[in-house]
Amino acid sequence: MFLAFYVGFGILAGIWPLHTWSPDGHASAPTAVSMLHAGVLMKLGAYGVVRLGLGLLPDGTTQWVWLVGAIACVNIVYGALSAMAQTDLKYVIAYSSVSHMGVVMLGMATLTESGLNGSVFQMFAHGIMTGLFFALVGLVYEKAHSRAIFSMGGFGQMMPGIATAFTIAGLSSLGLPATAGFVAEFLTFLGRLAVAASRGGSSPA
Amino acid sequence: MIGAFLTSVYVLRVAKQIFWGPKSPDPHFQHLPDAQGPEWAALVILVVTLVLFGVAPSIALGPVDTATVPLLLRLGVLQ
Repeated sequence: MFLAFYVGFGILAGIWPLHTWSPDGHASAPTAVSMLHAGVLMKLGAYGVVRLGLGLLPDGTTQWVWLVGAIACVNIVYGALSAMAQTDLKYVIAYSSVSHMGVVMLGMATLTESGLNGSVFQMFAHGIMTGLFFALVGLVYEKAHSRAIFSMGGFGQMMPGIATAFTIAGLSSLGLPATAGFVAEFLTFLGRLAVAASRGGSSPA
Repeated sequence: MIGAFLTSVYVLRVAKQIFWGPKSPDPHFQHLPDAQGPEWAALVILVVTLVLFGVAPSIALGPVDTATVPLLLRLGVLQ
């Protein structure tokens, strides 16, 4: 039962083998839809796993949580590597979403207080951050009529406001202190370290 | 940890290429306006929220904690 919930909500949340719809969906939707999509819809999937998966099925959760954690690690690294390989601006943001949802799932899979708090906080932070990213991509596209990263350059001189906002969103995305992304990722890693410590030593993450 | 490192690589690469790198020779990209009017509102609200919750996460973590602790207690993984 827990696995059924996990797969069902995992599709919505963009979990690794089931994420394939999400970058294409993000990239082809108009700006406002992409923002809502990343900010609300993907959180709905993660909320479903936390609320219904953990809340209704505690035994299933403790039984399958290792799988959720392992897939979350794949999610983070795979999402980041895919984002690196993209040449379309919107696909980069969409794959970074996949990577961030991995952090949400990893925090949840630790089953510690700081891990789960970090996971919920990451949902919030990612919603704001990715909403901002898609708004910025939409603005750049509206003005330059292009999303191809390598044909653009030097836009900071012409649109300093957009460039500043993009940099702040980016720093939050990579977890720099004093942005919401840092708090979320730090709590998640704290939860992960607590699990590793309680097992007495090394861990895969 | 690896994830955080990879994220910084791709985000900074994109930001450098688009906004901070040398100016593109493409004639279409020579005169582009900055954000205008209501576009600013969306950007400012989102940036302020990001930084606000980064500096003072407790305003969100309080309510979050009241929900997550009973959940974990029910799972029996928290004493």
